[in-house]
Amino acid sequence: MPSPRPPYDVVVVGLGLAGLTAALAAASRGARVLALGKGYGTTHFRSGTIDVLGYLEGGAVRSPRPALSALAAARPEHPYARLGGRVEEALSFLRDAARGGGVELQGGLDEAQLVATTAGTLRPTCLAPTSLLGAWDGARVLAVGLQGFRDFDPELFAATLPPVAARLGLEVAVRPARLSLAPLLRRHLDGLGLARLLDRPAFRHQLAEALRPLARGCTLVALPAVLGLEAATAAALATELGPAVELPTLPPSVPGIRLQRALERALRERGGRVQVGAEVRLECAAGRARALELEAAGRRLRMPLRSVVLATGGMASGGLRLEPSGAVVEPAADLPVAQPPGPPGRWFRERFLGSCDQAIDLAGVRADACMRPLDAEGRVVIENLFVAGGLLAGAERSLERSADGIACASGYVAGLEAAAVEATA
Amino acid sequence: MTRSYDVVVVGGGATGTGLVRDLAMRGLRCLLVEQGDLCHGTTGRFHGLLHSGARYVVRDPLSARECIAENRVLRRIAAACVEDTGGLFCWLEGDPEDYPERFLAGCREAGIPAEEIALSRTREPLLSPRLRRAFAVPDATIQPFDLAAANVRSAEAYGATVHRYHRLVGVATRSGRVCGVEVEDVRGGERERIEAGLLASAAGAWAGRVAVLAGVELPMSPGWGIMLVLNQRLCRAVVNRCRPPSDGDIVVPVGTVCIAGTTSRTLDTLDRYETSREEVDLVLTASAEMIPAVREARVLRVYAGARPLYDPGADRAASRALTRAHTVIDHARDGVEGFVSVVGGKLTTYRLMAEDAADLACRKLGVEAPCRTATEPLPGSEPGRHYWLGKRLEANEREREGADADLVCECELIPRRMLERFLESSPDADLEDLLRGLRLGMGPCQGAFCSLRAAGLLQRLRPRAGLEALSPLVAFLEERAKGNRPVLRDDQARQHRLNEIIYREVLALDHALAPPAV
Repeated sequence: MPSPRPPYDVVVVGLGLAGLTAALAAASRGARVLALGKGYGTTHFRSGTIDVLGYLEGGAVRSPRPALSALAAARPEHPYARLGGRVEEALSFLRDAARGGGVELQGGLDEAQLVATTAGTLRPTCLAPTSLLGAWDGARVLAVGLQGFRDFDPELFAATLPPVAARLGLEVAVRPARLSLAPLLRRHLDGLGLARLLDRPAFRHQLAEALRPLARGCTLVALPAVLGLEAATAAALATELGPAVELPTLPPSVPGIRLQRALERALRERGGRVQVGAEVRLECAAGRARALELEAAGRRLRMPLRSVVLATGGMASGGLRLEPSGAVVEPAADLPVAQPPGPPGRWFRERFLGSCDQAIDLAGVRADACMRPLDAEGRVVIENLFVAGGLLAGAERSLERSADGIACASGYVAGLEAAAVEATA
Repeated sequence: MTRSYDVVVVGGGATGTGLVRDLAMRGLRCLLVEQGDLCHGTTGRFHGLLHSGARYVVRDPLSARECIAENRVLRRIAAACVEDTGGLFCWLEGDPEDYPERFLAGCREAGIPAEEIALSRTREPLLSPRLRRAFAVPDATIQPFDLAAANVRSAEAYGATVHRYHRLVGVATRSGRVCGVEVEDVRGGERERIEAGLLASAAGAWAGRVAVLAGVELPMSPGWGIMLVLNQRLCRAVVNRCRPPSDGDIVVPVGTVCIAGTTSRTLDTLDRYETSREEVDLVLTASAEMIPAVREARVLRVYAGARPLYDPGADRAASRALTRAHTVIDHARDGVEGFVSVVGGKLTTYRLMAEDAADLACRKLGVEAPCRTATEPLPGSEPGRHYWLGKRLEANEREREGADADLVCECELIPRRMLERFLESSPDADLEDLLRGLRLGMGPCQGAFCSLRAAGLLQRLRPRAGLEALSPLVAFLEERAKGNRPVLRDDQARQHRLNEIIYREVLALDHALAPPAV
């Protein structure tokens, strides 16, 4: 019996940064695209920045471009070695797509940017939304904790930021303050609740009015990163209040959700479809991905495939799983997984915050320059399947701070390649 | 001026805190020194079982009799620290044929009420389908930190002084008699000489080290056992295997989780125990024989405790075979007057150990006051109500804080005010004390969310300057991760990666304390 015709040119599995970038890239070539996933990716845990390469050999990367070349040259198994020159093109594609969805990402590969966090640390990143960037050098900062919000204590931030900044040659003074407003005195005030509250002009105005006298003499007001689910909210607050900056904190990440929503909006505008809540398995035979089996809304569905991008994520998202037996597996398509080197007892670094390598980071799916999965001998295992993001082997994301850059570049390449797959008879 | 006490007690576990309470109640001026926090040693690293004694009836009847007697005492005097879970002994298809009858005979002999119950009446739906016989015994669980803290509160009310984070570094003798000690403040580094009429060591597995300072040899034989924390409470009662004690034959429900234990290895080390994956698998396999759902649960962490076994005979082959009964030693036999040690034993009999040691100390000091610890309830236990799982929820609701309002730790239901009160009542507490005292960070997420929040709260109440403000947070994260590493797999590996994303990739704490090399 002949298979029914595939309803989409490209199906993308995974709704994180890699999956959405892949879907957008495929849609930009005119492909009919469906992006689906079990849930959203780690965009909701991260801070809405695009970390391309934050640290190399223990040192903070000041200029990502040469550091990327050095990394690619030194580590041929690294995804950046495969993706090579396409990182910049992918970042610029992502920046345009995010702008289309309402989020302005600043920066590029020339110079790293600094983002301050609620812990009072400053970390390097490559692209960041405007609201996370502040003029730190010489700043007199008012750090504002909001009554009822658990995930930011301005006293901790005020103690740590000045010495952290001084180490980088920046002079920063911080004054902590706490603000209690009537709408804040209610239960369940998490980041999302606060963000929704701030999307309302009336509350935003009330907050700005309350902050203005406190901020006198300050050059920057630092708030936890909850300034609205709408991309325009942070800018609107800054218009009323003066320079303000958001500090990333615990999940759920409001800036991460903003970025994810912007990309999803851009994808829909380009005709892509998005489906959340679908658990997926791939049916592969004779070197081709034939169909997708998905279980959603209580029923099973089988969808024939023309090409597919697998962007199900790494260990945190469930795209890779460490089985009790000690094997790392890829559960959606059973792709060959490069196992961590060394004995299992040594796969995790001894100190959680330590700076040594961690074997488990290296596990994942190896891919060629087109992002097709490879077996142990380096042969392409499936012709019309492309992998992207956290699944990819060979990167030490917890050291390098490369997760977003890899997701973006591999998603971009995988999406374009998937769109280029010819329909088969 | 030199401080002077009748008795200096070493060791802030159950026995030491029980001993200092006992002595203080008898009117002696006492000082307790503990090198870490309370329960820093074995007391904080056991499985939580308040023995009925049934585990010992076949092999160690003396221990069994002591256990059931103390079980009854502790249900009274430490009611608030005890959860009356009951215990079950499970005899599975294929287990030794003759064991149940020997077990029942032993229980009768020791005076432990043991009753065979119909399999349909176990109230344990997750027990193995291979279960053939089940015996109910009065096992219970006990919260070691609450117990030690209550003993300290009572001792202080009777005039005793307790120094945590103080290590004994020297013992002064004059003509063969202990006359004083030297202690070091572990955190500040200062040393102090203190006059003492008597030195009483309740240092458990560390007793040999204390003895050496007094010039005495005390051959201890630490018996290490590992315990796994599973993310769910898979049983109501303490579930034991009805066969001769062996590895992985007990699952203890504690709070919202349960503890599967244990193993038994005799090792000379006291400071560091490397758990192997094989050992973890051994315990998982054995406990899954009793409760197959163990396989489905997440292993949150593993910890190891050193049983303070006293080994006069130097038989190091099988630590489980050594008696679990305790010994009180008057070191006059070794030529040092004014020095006693209490060794061996187990948490269930801590009060009896303290009583025996206090009796000897009093005899030596010529004090005639009787022991009252078997009858006078510990602070907080006066109403005689036991701990129960919903206790925190009930308290939160009563205080109108709501079950989920302003919770710093969602897993363990700890509202901000509870943390503030704890920090106010123990001025030198850090985040790890919050862990032991309130179970902060002990639930399924292992501190992913509460660590940062608690660190912020700590900084607000106890400001530290500059980067020091981050050091409690960093230490807490490292401590949590330490117990995780040997059991990272499946969902717990996933949780670990999430924690990395939060604390390394989002908050960049890995570069906060050490300046990055450029």
